Amino acid sequence: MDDAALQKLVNRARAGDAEARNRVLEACRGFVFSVVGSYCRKPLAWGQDDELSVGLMAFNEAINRYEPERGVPFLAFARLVIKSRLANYFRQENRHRKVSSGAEISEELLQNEAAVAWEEFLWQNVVRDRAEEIEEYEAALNEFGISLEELVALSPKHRDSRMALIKAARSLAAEKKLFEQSVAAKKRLPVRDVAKKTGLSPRAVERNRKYLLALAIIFRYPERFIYLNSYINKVG
Amino acid sequence: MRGFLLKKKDGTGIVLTRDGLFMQGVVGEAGATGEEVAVQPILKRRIPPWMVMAAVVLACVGFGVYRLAFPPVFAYVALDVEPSVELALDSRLVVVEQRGFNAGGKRLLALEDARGKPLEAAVSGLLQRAFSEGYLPDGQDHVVLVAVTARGEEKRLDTETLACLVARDFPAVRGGVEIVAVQADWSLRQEAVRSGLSSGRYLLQRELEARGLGVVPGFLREESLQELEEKQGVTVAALVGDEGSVLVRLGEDLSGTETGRGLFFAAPVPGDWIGSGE
Repeated sequence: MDDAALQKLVNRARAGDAEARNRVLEACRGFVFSVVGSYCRKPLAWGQDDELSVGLMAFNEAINRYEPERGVPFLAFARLVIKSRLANYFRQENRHRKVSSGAEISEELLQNEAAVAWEEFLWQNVVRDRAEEIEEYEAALNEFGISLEELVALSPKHRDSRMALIKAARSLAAEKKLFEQSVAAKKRLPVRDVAKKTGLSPRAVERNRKYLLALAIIFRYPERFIYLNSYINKVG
Repeated sequence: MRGFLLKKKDGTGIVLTRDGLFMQGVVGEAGATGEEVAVQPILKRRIPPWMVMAAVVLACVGFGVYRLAFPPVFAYVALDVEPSVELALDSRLVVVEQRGFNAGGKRLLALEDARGKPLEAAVSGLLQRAFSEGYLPDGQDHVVLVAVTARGEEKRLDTETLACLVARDFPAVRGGVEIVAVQADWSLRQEAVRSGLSSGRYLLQRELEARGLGVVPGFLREESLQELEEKQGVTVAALVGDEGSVLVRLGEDLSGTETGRGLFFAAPVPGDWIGSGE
């Protein structure tokens, strides 16, 4: 499901359309699994791990709290809510072991009072979240020996060329087996295979190797690079 | 143009535009990483005049230092016996470069490095080394051709002075010695180097061709001038015409009596002098 279709469904869900909400939840189960998995850093399974339930509830909550006018992609906001709820969950889990039930009530009261502030805090966290995503992207590029400065020099100057390469990068990102086994694992671009899959000439692939990789990384991991993916996804 | 700010430093930043262009430019102070910001392409900064002046001064100083370290060549002196060598001299007449044109010349220079020596010492050293290495066998007649190419007037580079210099330092062998010194202009030297010959031998080749006496280039390059004279039936002195200076030392006669060994006589170069021993 692309960004625009998801956005439409989210809007309908926020307006009270239960079917749209279910479709969003169903479509984004993989996203929730990925965010929770990367936060918890352990193998998880639906129906066995509470963290996934917490994540799914947080995602549902994100649909309610989302404000499109703030200009933040829905999935980026949902990721923030999930992480925040997981943090609360783990904090409470620790405290349950340590404090009495009386203390829990007063904690609950305090939490209710802070709910509004929490939401605002969440939106403010978008700035930090974006910065972290870009740091992660730069690190991912570095693994392939690519720097942002290089990409400035290597970006095709003609828009048509870039559009063709964006399309090719999407095709490459969609080839899960090729990408994971050859590109991600070996940190190299199999020129002939990529040319075959993307329809570009081997020479064009070789010449634009780093540029293609930089874009394919964004498209291959949309749950990690939500902001970048959302930004560049609006063209091509 | 607007783009997603990926990196920001000192007022400039790298953005990714919606149509996939990674671009570096000037971004506002307010924009934070990850925000969509307006970006202006970086204009090439005008270089301040003081920097231009500094660069010019630096270049001049650098050129001066370079010239000190590698002075320009003032003159070339080519010396041909059997080995064929050329010495490049600076304005102090110190050898700054050397070149061997044939196998003998290369070997001689490998054994006797002339670089850094004054012309007189270099010529003396090369002649002595040529003798000790068997290039000037005792009891035979020898022909030495000296060709000089100089930028300006220099008494020490007159053909006569050079011929005398060679005569003074020529090893005391039994046999006649004929020393021919000629001037070669810069264009002739350039053509000679392009042909892989010393200026002197190139001059000989040109004169031989002009007289319809063809010579195999390899033979002209490698063999001694004495052999060349014998094979072509013409003397080097006759070939270079009346522009050169010639010094002749008579050899011992058959009974072994010295006939003026160490004593050279200046001889005129007849323009129509064809055939050795005539």
